[in-house]
Amino acid sequence: MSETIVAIRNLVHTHLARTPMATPALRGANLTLHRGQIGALIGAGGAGKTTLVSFINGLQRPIDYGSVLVFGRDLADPSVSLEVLRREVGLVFQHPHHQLFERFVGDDIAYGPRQLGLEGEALRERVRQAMQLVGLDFDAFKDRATFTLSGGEMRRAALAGVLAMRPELLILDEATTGLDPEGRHRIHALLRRLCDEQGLTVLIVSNDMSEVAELADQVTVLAQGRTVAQGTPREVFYANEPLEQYGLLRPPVVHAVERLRAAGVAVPGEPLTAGEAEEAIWQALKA
Amino acid sequence: MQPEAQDVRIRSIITAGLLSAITLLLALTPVGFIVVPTPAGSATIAHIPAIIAGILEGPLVGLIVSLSFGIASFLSPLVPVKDPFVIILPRLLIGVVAAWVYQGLRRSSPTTLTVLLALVTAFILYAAYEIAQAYLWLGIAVAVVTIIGAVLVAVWLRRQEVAVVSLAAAGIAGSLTNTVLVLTAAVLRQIPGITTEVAFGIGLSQGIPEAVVSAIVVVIVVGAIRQIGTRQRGSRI
Amino acid sequence: MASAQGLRYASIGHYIPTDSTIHRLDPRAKLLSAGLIVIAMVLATGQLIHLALLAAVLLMAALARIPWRFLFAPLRPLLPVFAVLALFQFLFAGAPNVAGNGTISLTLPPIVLRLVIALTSLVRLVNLVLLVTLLTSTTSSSGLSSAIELLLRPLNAIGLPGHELALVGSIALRFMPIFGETLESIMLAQRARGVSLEPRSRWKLLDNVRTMGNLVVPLFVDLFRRVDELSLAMQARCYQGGRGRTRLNQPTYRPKDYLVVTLAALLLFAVLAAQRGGIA
Repeated sequence: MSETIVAIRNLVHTHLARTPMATPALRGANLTLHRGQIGALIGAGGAGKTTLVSFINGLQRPIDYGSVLVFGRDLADPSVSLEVLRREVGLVFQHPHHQLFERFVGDDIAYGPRQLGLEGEALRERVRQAMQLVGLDFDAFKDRATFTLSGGEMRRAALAGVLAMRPELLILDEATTGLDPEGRHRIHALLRRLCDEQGLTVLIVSNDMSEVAELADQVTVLAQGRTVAQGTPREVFYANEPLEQYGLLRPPVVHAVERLRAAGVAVPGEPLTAGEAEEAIWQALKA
Repeated sequence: MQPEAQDVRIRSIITAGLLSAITLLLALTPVGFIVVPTPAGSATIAHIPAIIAGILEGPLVGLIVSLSFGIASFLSPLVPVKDPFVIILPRLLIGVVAAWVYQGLRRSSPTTLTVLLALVTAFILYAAYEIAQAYLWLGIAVAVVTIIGAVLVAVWLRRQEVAVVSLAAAGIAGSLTNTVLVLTAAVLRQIPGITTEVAFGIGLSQGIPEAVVSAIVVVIVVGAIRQIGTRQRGSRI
Repeated sequence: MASAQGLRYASIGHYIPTDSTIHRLDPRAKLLSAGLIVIAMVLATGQLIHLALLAAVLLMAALARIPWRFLFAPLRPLLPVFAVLALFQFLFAGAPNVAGNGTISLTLPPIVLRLVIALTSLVRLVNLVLLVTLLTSTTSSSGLSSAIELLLRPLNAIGLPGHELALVGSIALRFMPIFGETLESIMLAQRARGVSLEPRSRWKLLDNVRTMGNLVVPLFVDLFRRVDELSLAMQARCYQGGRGRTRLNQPTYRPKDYLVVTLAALLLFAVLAAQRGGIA
């Protein structure tokens, strides 16, 4: 088994603790992620996904109960620097314009590396690479005004700004929501490549089950602040216990396969993507 | 297609409402304060949405957002004076003044701006002379600061676009409207503890940093939203 | 700069749902009464009146079952400011305005008198803060906004855009917490990309303004996007202003609402009468 990047055990957290508005946000969350993996965190709205993510990024320390280890460092240990952790963990959110602020795209992407002390040609190269990764042409886009970009371009610029920091762990919190299929596909391919080639570890928070089924190596299901299922997408989506009880829908492909089976078509295996399902259904119909 | 009057009206209402929301947020929570090198240690930026409202949407929306700022200050526990004639009424003019200054300067030439700067400088120097009659050293200090400031601004003026200069001027004017009118009202209404001397002290120590902060923030924000100030043509990469 | 979490603890404007008699009052009645009491607090000068008003506010807070520490929480950051003001009062208060309306007699030694004046102004500030805290912690923001709209309705009759102003007010109240969340999200997003939001030395003015700019630029960009979205949404629903519009929940005054407003009005009159009569 490769190196463990994130290990969260029985994490309990209360929002606005010690006030009349106190609400339990996490009541026993578990999450494990190994180097080079793409993990997915799914759960209905209010299940505590964003809270859990904020722990991994070092935006909060475990105070109530449970442990959070990121890169083997225990966040409960006050000597562990959250500032350093935040530089190693990249976080991209749903609203790209929240993450941008410089007048020009080039300066915005260069912001993080500049903070790390890069300058001159090294900085230029770092920005060029990050822009190339997300498919923004360096010369065409570096001098564009940030807030005149289209939604999709802004999202890629935000992602480039985070990638330019060369994080070890990248978290995408609903960061592909609302993207067109082509843009989403491009980001998926990029993530897979970064994981395989550079040992990046990725955690996606998503409501799109097809995306999770296609992309993730490992899925964690959160319901009402508790981890209720963990495993490969096949294990989670083909489990006997349906996900519907947690307010989640299974990927349409899985749903279709199960209906075919109920109707007596013996679809083999556990297909997750449309391509796999096509093949499996073809097999079943030929037989 | 020309937008319908009704649509413009809806847009103005919504803009005024949303800018007021940010005003409330900045005035009633700690985020609206910025650390500055003055005795009080912090300056507010809660009046800036009112200035931006005036610049982008005109005097009427500016007035409404200014009213929200007045009400927010009245409700704020950080504002110890609770006299509406001091806290709300004078503040109504913040957005209006910002709108007028911006609209007035926007189309003027750099020469006009320089002449205006000279007039403002002359006026402050005259005020410094008056102050020097009563407090010699304070007057001299004001005069020295004014001359240095005027020279810096004149240099900056020559290198900037008129649009950026008008934004900064509107930011400063709106901010000073706030400081000067509120303190004047406080002195006139005989708020305990606010004598003329105290008012001058607060005006200089709070008013100037707030005006500077507001000029910078207005230029950054409106510049980013409206792509104003394109003289810097590209990134530093 | 406050921490991202700190925003949620914003001292004023936090609704505390304890469902008491006071919570269930009509928001209009609460807003009107609070307005009357604020006027009383602003106008009153006598020491005993201020103490009586303090007692009244504390009594209402007890009725509303607002935990004391939440009622007093907003005062904590203010204490230094108040202390300085009280000191000013103590040092510079002019003796003459002590003599008149409704204050204790002049037979006290001047130093004690000054102390009393300073403490009185302190109590007045505390009163105002407590009252506003009480109003916002017992009234939800939607309650407040519909109250504002209904109370501004008479402005239409005299040609002022009462409905439009009320709409501005309710959009402001509705979106204040949303922008709070947006700002939290911006802070998280910025921190996540290595932006330090901690204030540096107060002398690094430009750095601090830049940090502030990093937060407010995305905030205003977000705002103007919302302007576009909301305008479209309202045009799409053929919004035509307030005339002839009906409400889903038509609020009605109940007897106890009238009672509360009457009590507040009586309180104001009592204060005015006490001032004039030189009692208290």
